[in-house]
Amino acid sequence: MTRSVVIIDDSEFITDLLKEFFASKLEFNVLDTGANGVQAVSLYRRHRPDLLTMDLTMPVKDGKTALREILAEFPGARVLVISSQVGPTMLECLKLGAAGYIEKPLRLDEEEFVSDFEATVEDAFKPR
Amino acid sequence: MESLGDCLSDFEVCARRAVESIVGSPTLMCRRFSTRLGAEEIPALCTIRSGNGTFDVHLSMGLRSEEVAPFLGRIASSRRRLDMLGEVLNTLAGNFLGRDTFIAKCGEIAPSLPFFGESDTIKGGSRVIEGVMQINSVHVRFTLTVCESAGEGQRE
Repeated sequence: MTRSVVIIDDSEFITDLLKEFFASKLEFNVLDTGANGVQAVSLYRRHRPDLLTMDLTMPVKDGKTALREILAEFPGARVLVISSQVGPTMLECLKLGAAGYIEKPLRLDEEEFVSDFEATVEDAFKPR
Repeated sequence: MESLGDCLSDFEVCARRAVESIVGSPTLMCRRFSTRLGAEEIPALCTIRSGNGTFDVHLSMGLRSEEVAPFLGRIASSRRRLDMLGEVLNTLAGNFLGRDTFIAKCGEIAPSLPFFGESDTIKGGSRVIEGVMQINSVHVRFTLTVCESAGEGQRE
């Protein structure tokens, strides 16, 4: 059965890259996209996707706040954080319950990056 | 506050990686990143301003608005061009501010959203990292400034 994904990023450029990658390379069904944390929460509620990808630095509501809210309401939600923020922020998100963390910049033309990305997505679907 | 000399290598790595991954073209350093003290107004098309109460950080890209299209090397709508420019700076900020070399000097600072304008002001006493990179025949100045937050004492 095809897995579904909702993509959240305030950059249309990044959103388009991720849509193409998830649809063509990972064969996900891209249900919807959003550009801030408010949309992230409402789209998760509406679609209940198998996976939601979340940027962190966004207007209106940031990704870390949205991550907390989604996981509080839906403890089984799989939220994959995709952000340029590294170091302590990455660890905080994982401690909050993010299913994985992908570090920007997205280097989708590099085999190793794509392989790591695929592995992180697969790990998100393993029993916790 | 301390010199940012230890951060130069990380800053260059993060800047080149951010540009090359989003623009898709190789970068060439026209003027290598170096440190100085600053207190002036600089041209800045895109800026990120963040802080943690102890230190204020500004990160900016200096290029003219008509240089954005050749910098990106591709035809795109005006909105898409600004989006990509903001993403370059956002990527640089997120990557660099999370590096151990920076955190050791200034603590944790989360990047804010980029905004677009014409200039940025470097406050007196700021530590500056600055360099000029060539991408697709466009020279872009990257400037990082760090100063103590107004009203705050030395970082403990």
